[in-house]
Amino acid sequence: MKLLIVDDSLIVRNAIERNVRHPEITEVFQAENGVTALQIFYREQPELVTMDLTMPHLDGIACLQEIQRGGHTASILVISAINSHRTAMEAVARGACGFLVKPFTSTELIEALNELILHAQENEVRL
Amino acid sequence: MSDPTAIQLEPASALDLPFRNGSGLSMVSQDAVNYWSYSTLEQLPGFSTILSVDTTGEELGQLFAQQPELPGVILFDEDYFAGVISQAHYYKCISRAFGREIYYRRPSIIMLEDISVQPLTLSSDCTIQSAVEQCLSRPVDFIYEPFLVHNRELGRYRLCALQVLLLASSQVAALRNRQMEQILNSVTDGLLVIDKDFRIGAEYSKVVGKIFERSDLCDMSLPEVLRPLLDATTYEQLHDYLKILFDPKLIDRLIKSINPAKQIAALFPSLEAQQEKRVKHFALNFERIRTQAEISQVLVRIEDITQRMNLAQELEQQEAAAEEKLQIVMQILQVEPAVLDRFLTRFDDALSVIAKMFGLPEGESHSQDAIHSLFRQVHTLKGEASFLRLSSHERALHQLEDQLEKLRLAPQIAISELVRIRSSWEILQKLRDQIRQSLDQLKYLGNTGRVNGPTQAPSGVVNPAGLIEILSRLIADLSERLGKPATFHTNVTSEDLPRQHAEVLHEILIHLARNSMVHGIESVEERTVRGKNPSGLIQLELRSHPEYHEIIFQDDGNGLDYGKIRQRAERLGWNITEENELRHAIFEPGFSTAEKVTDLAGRGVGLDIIRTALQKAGGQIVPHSEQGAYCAFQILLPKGASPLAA
Repeated sequence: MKLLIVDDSLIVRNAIERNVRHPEITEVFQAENGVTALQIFYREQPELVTMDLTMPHLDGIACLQEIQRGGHTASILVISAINSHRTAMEAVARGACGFLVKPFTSTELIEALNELILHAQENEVRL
Repeated sequence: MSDPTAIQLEPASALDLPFRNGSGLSMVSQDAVNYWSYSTLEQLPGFSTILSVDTTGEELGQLFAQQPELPGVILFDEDYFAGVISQAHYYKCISRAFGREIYYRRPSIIMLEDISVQPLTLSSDCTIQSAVEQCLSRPVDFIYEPFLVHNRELGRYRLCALQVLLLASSQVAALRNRQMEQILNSVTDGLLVIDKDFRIGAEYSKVVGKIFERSDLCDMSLPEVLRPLLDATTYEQLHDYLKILFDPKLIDRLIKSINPAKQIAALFPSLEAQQEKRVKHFALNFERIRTQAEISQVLVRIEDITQRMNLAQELEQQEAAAEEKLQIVMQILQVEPAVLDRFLTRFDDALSVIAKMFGLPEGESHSQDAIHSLFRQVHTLKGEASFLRLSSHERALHQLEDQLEKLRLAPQIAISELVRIRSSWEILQKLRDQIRQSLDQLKYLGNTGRVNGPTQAPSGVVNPAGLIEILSRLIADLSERLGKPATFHTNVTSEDLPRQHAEVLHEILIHLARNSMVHGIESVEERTVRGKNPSGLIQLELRSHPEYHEIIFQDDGNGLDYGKIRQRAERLGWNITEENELRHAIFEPGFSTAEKVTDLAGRGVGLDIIRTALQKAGGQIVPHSEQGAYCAFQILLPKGASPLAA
């Protein structure tokens, strides 16, 4: 499975990538803004995405919307400091299937990624 | 659990057949059975009436006539199981045309000829529930037939009637309901289930009713129950969250983090008309119940965490109080015992003045002068509390000062003001007791340490070293609080000061140091622009002359702003033009040029207190200043008893 990590902070991106040790994940991509994220998404068709919400050049919500419009079925985990409940709800409406609230511990992150992978596997079976 | 292949029965020789060829009967009375939730067929009453295939129809008929409760018999051909003839089937055969003629004299095995289906055989460890399901899924014609229960361990068969099973099943169901009810009545958690429309199911725990203070929750919509209790935003967030809970594509564990109701405050109407609304704190947890790919229901766990929240708050307060006490002890250890003693004495004085003034019978009033004098007393105390770093005392005194200020300005004293002053007074009294207590404890701990410390000079005189240390601490403290770096230099060539002078000087220098730090020394930016050293400089000189002590206190700050002083003087209606007079105006009561009142300075008291105190001691104070460069105060105190000539 391919994982795309979208976050404008290099520290957060690396923190996520460092914790990806699941045997299912074969390739990891990073994007620092929504535009790059979409380019990589279309090119690589990852099954898993972690998505920040506040980013320059196309924010997370717009990004989710674009992915949803394309009818893609990636399992998307929003990783964000949710200061607005509305945004969180909107992300769900736009196809996110889970939330991890920043700041997170690495245990929380690993557990969340495992859940996400499980979800993606179920998704595959259904398809 | 049942084994459908059990129909292929073992040879009868392997079985224990105590009632073979007899009308043996083994039955447990239905009333005696106590089922439990997971009861198995082992407990179900049944009959092990086993007959040989040779038994004639007539004999069978006699047996059934004697035992109408017998569901049927098990037929064996030598050691081999042949089949089951139920009472119903027997009478069906007999009642056919020429039934008696066909079956009476012949072996009963021929009655099995037109039964194409083997009897249902269930293992004895099969649950009642599962047995009902299996019995009822038989072909329609056989639904009411008895069924066999096979105990593998004992190798025994029993024949059971369907209605006995159904009766047992309903008992089990009733028991489960009772248990569920007991659980829901006794769990301390509020448990309820909501459906897709957020409707509350019939089964909810008793606590839920207690939490929401209503008993009509069944079928109500959970958001509607909560709406009148929550503020609009919380309600909306919760409503949104409930909607996404039923979205099956979301990952259970990954949406818990956005649950907006982990801790919410609910406002309940007051019990009595005049009371305030009651606040309860709830924690709501949601568990989604999946049925196949759908979320059919959500289990909601509601906890009333009001007590926990209140306890946490109390604990916080207790910790703060303990912290305060510790702080007091720490300060006491650092402070000169004499200084602390004086502070406490004056603290007591102020408290008793307040008690006298505000404990007056109604109708009597007190003069503005008295209030003004008290106000100054409190102000001075606040200053001392500040350098003693007794911050809780300082805060309480600041509050009292605010209240007195209002009294000073308003001619009429409102009752509410008096009440506030009273409560301030109580707080201060408590603080005073606290400090006394700590002091006593420390004294008890031993006659060591600074409480009876060695730094105390022989009676009658005080070494200025203690005073200098206090000043240096005060300046460092203010420097940090105001964000203005400052250094304190001293040049002391004086011998010990007489006690009464030391006290006056102590008071004066503290006021001057505060004034210098608050008003005199400029901000780093300002000083940099003016080409001054970014760090301010405060100097203290103590010199001894034959007749008098000379003390010079100087800062390299803004100096006296004569323009501002003139403006202020004009506003106060004082007609002054001479610079020399202006310099002295700053010592007049009610004079202050500070723009805002802070707890550090600027209430228009300070310098007038200094002059009054000095005059009492027979001393003088002379200001010197150059605007923008420095401000110095020259203080003279007589060595003898006679005052210095002005």
